[in-house]
Amino acid sequence: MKGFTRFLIQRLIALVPTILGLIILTFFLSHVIPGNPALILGGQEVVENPTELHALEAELGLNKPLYIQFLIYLIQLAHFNLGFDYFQGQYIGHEIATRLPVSIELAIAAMVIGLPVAIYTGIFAALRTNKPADHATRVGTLLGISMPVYWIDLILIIVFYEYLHIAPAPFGQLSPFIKAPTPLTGFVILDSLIEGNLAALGSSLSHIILPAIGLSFAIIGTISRVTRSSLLDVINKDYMRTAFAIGFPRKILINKYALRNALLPALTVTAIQMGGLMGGVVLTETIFSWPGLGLYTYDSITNLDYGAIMAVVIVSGFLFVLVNLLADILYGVVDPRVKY
Amino acid sequence: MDVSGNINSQPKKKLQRMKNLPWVRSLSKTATLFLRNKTGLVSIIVLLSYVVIAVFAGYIAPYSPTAIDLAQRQLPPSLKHLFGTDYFGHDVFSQIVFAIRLDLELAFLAVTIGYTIGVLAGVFAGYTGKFTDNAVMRVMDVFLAFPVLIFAVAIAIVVGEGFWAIVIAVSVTSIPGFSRIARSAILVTKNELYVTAAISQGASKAHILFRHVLPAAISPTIVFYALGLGSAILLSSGLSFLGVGIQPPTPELGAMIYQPFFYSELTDWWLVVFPGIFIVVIVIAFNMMGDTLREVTDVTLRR
Repeated sequence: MKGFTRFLIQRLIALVPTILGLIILTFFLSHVIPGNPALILGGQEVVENPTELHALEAELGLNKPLYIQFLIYLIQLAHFNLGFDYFQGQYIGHEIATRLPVSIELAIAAMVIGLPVAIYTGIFAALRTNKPADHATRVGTLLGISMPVYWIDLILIIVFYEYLHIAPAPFGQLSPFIKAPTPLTGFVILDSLIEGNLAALGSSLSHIILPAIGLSFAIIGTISRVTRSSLLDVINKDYMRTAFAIGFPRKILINKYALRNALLPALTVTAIQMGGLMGGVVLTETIFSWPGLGLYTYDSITNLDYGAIMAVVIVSGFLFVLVNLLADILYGVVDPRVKY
Repeated sequence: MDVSGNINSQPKKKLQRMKNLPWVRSLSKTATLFLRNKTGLVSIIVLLSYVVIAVFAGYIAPYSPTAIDLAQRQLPPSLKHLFGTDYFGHDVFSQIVFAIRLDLELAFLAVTIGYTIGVLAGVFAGYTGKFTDNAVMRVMDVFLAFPVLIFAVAIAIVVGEGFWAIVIAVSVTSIPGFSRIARSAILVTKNELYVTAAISQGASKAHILFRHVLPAAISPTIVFYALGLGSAILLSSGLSFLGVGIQPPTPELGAMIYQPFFYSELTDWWLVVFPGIFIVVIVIAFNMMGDTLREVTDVTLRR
């Protein structure tokens, strides 16, 4: 365990320059975006009145030199203050805290749908290499990684909402006619379960299914391909061939000896995908008006809301790095060969 | 042997010598293996047909892609308008034909730029020593931690509207991936026995790099060039879908799909379905090409 602690500390120290770089890059990138936030925020009033414009700029801190603005931002960040969102009239930290669970809920739903299918098809194809079943799976997974997610989403909406009328209107997490559960955890499905609010539960489940399916295509494509190739690698190992040759029961051999080794790379890919999904999926959330981090990002980019853009990028970048670290740690737990 | 003193013998010999060069033999072998592979052949045929469409777009499209015909708005597919017409009366088929040209240009340009810079950075990091390696790779780590789409949107907005905004956004976001792959390929090759042998014979660093390390290290990265083309098409059409980069009336496949969504005219399914199919087919072709190249260039699988 001592080796593990050292590994963890080393990895955490290595995170510092990455996170710092992320903050620096985000700050300067968001400040070279053309446009004046004070003009957008103040609207018609400040356009006609330069003194008010200057006052607003001073209030936003825009009149100070860029490096001073950066230093102020860093100090605020060290106090866990992400700034104030003038467009939503809310602290950005609060905004992100309420939106993060919304994105994570969608990410989990997409994984719940995608992961079993991905693992199953990966195993299915690997055990039938170069047979028609393998080729069919290959085409399917290729489709999964080659379809633009916004296209899948729109097709799903056209088929299930516009034509079949099975799915609810693609606007947000709940139908507007249903009383929303009191936010305890921020996860709508979980909250309605806790409250015993069956109407909200049904509505939230039916709203989450289309965006989750839309996201699951890419998950299935990627993870299934990784599972297939790593299982094939293991099956072609010498010890597997020997075990086959001496007549070891095939089922036990695959399930116990091959799969456990083969699923390790799949775990890494799953973690990376999850890290990406949790930070918000801009396209899907925009299409389904899903009030998560992705939609917030899109809105703040169109509003030129510096503070919000920076906050979202930093939070999702941080999540991404953290999930990667978590995957590395899990790797050691699952694989006894990994030593720290 | 040509004893008759034929005038052609000199160039012929030259050609023969060319054919025996190791990299020419390896390349022609790779090409043969690639074309014999069913997946590889299909991907090449798809790509060639897209290139043909792109080159002869002006002859293939029956209408002008930007011609507005308000009398022919939102018509479903028919013989007159094969893929229907959109909100402004544009012929969707003609728009797709020109959009294919634009998207191919975008993808090839962006990935070539990103690949060149990325591979150069990766080779530099992997070959020059521990300090530069750490410096370059830490920077790349920062870029990798950025959510790709958000990063690309930010760059595109900074650059401004239009073609080059997307090219720069897509190429910059692809650099860290390419540099990582090139670096790891260099690190593996650098420690091969034949490289050590060359060092022990006193070969210069540059000689070893260009003669022994690069040729072996570059070939696996070609796979990712092909795969990168696929993701470039997805990313650039996604950017246009979000409304950054290519602006209407310039036809772009992603921007075309955005239109029915923006005007909430999703019942006009043909406006969504057809441009999307053309994206999916070319991305699949690039992915298949990458897969086949991976199989074909893997020397350990070659017998």
